Amino acid sequence: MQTFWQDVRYGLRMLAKNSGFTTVAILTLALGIGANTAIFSLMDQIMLRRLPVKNPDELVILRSPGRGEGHVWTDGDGAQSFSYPAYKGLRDCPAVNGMLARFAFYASIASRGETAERGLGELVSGNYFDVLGVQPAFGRLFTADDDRVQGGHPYVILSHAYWMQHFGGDPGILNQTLLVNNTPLTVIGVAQKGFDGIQVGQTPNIFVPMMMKPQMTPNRNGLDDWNDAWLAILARRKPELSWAQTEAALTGAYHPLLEQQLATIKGWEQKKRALFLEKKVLLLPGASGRRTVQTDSGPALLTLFALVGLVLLIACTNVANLLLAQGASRQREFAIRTAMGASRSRMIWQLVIESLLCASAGGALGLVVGLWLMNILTPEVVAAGISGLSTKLDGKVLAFASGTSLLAGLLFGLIPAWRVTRSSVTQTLKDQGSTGSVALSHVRFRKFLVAGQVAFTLLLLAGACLFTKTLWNLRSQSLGLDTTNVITFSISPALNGYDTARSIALIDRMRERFAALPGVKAVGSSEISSLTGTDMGANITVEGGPQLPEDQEHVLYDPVSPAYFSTIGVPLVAGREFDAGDTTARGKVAIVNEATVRRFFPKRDPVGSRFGFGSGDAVKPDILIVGVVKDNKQDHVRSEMAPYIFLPYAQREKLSAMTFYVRTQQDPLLIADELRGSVRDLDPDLPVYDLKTFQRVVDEDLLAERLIAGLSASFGVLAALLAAMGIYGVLAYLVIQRTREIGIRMALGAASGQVRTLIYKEMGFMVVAGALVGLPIAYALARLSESLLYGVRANNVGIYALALSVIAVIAAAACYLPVRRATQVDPMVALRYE
Amino acid sequence: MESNGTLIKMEGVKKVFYTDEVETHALEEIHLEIQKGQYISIAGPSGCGKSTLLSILGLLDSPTDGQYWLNGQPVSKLTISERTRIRNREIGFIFQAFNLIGDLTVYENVELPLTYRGTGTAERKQKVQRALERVGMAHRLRHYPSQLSGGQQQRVAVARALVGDPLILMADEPTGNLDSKNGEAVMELLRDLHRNGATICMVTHDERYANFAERNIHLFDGRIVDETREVSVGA
Repeated sequence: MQTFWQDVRYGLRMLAKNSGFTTVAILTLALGIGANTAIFSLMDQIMLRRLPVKNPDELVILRSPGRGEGHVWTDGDGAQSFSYPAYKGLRDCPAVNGMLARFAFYASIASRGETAERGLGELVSGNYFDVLGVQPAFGRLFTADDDRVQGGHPYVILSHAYWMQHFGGDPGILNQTLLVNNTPLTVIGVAQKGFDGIQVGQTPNIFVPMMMKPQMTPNRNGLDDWNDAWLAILARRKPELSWAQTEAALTGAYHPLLEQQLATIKGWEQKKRALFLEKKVLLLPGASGRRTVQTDSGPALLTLFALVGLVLLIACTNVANLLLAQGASRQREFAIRTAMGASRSRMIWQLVIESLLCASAGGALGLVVGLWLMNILTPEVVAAGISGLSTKLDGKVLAFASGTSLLAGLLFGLIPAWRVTRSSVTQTLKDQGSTGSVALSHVRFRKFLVAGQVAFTLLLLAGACLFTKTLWNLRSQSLGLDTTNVITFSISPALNGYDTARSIALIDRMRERFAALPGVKAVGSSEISSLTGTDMGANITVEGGPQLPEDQEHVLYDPVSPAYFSTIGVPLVAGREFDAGDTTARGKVAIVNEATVRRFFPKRDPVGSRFGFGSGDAVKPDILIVGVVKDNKQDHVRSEMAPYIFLPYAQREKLSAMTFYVRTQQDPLLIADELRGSVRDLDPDLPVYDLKTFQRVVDEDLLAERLIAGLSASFGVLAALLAAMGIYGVLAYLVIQRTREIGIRMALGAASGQVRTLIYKEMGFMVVAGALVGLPIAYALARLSESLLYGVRANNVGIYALALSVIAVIAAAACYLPVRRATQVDPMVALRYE
Repeated sequence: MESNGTLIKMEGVKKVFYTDEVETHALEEIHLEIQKGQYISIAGPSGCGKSTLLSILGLLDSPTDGQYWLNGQPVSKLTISERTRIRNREIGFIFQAFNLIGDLTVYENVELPLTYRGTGTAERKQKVQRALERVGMAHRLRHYPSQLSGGQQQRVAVARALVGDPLILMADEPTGNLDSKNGEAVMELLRDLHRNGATICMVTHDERYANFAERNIHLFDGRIVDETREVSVGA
């Protein structure tokens, strides 16, 4: 222990003495460790964290792939959605230790006479908390008695975070009434601290009994409908039963339920019915809850993690190189220590302590960098729809940063220590202060390290080029609409008790109010928010249309307002836009996009044609097509143009939410307050949410691409700079080592060009060796991440040529000073040089 | 082999350096015995193998052929860690270029062998103090080598060699980097140590300093070509 502290003291002294090295090393490591810490924090919160419930490994998610019927609510995997009657039938299956059901819904929440705010709620089965093993923070949680009568359990439980944020942790909230979606609910408890529901990125503010579904989602009940699949089901597995046994038992219990559902389905042929009855219940691991966000964000996060991992590797290689350079100048010290009886392991340990001290300082500063990055990245991710992420440092992130620092310290410290301490003692002690010939072997190793650094840098630069090109392609493509000077926001009148007729009237009035605001050029609205990943779909049958396979009959649709297309800049190709007269008083009308025309009207004019929703001969083609618009991106910027049908919202039977688009003459954010004020004037209790520019919507949709391109480009530049430092360091050292040789060569008549070639050859070796290793790996990694690319392929030769060119340029720049020094060697001075 | 009074015994020691395709025979058939308490000098022209011999004697290098016993123990059978331990406990080195570590204070330089030996702080402090007092440098404990003159640095180096009470002191041209006055002082110091019982093996090319030793060995082309011994004349 005594010698440990002695080594620590000496290590600190050495770091202080070599302040230039220490500063560069600590900054380099801080950037590497900081970037890794920030991305790990996201990885941990999104990908790795397990639910804070009892024995999470026993939890399983139910899914039943195969043909469904009726309405299927999905956030990625429709097979995970079940009807409530199916849940009721499965719930008491003895093969599991409890089975819960849950559905997330948007909630308009008002308390103590305050203006309503939009939040997220979860409708949960009575046994939800019991199956999960979640305890109340205070008050009580739901039980089976809260799950019996439709509309008969007007209670609400607050999440701990919402209680703290919104009510300041006031225990007086118990037994108070909240107005949730226009329904008074009594607060009966607060859920366990840290429990944020069962789906990462979807953190409910409140929990409401499942039996309150008709009140919470007034446009769709679904509690008695076999053909409305909207529930996610999780079960607690019995440890004594195998996975397969549990699946078999659940499938056995599911079969009679399928038969009951089938009895409600009309018009299916025998083959389809037989296939339906073959559906099974399969299980997914549920320890981390529903993995929707993990599935969506996984590839992007893994790519980011790989990128920052590369940055740390490059940082470590760079510091190892610096340490080797420093070690060469300390060989004499180690030779003396050897002569004094220090064992090699003892000296390696001493050097490793120095490295660990350096890494610790880098780690501490890296935490600051990490926090800074987390504060930039996390809000962006939250804004893009993944809620519940924190920018706070927790034990895991701290442990990761410490572990990374330790690993980095060992990684960059051990190999140089091993090499530095193996030189010949006798030779070094005789060399009177010169680092001698032993240093040449270190130079060879340093060249090898720099070649490695070039390879890593090539990976990052190739990645940066691919991802930047992807972002460029996404940004420069035509969206089919114009986002300039457009502001957007949403309202959900249905959640505040509006029926459809009142909703339509309110929206009409709002459009008039907004259009009258100064600076407003046009106002339009649609039920589906454009480019936010939401959609609605159904099959259609066109009168006199071509015979299409059933999966080709599916289209997406969106109820929109008059002037919607002119507001968002989608050109009309034929026919007309909707007008104020397109209400239920007139016949049903629709506007289709060009993709719909290509599929359903290949050789005919769609305007004046009719279609109906549904499949088969029984469908009544009662909707008249009155216009055709150009294709435009609807759900995502990345999506292909798909058949899309637009309907007038005034002809909707049920209208839940509405998103407005307001085009202005100037910066649209300037009228944000006036828009809020106009809504407030018409209904002070109606929450306005997602108010932002249309361009911001596009940016949020491209969050993953922006993050990956931005970070990979930044890290690529950083890596290139570090590689330049590495190349410069080795070449500068080589020139000093070879000054005498260069002097002799010049004395013998070598021209400066020949001396220059000498140095360029050294640089060429490092770059070519690095490129030979880096290029195939870069290509392989690009192939692996091809799903993240857009408009560019992994085999795009230009990308690798560009990355190589960047490396060649920085390598040439790094050569400049060493070459200059070499060509200015005075043979007379050099020959006396030793 | 019995050690009796023999501290070092070499039989047929050879050392060949191989560089590329060139073989350099640094030492040829060295037969040598050094008794405990002897003061021996190894002299010879530049490149004759003096320092190579001293490196092998000090376990910093190994012979290519031949046998070497240190304190009765065959050196060829020692593991690396045993050699390290012996170097630390039984041999003290003094170099021409002092070879003090510039980033350690005088005190820290001198305590280095004791640190590697695992000696406790109190004992270390006491031994370092005593060694520095013996060479007259106890007043410069906190100084760094760069703050000392060449002669003072070499005295610190001698203290470092002495501090662990080694069986033998190996001095490689200890006056090579000193002016004559400081050189004389260091030689006097070594003579005093010898008088107090230290075994010393010194490499030098300076006849004047070689004569401080009681036994002079002359090397030429890697072979011992001559040996003179100081003859004590009885009273």
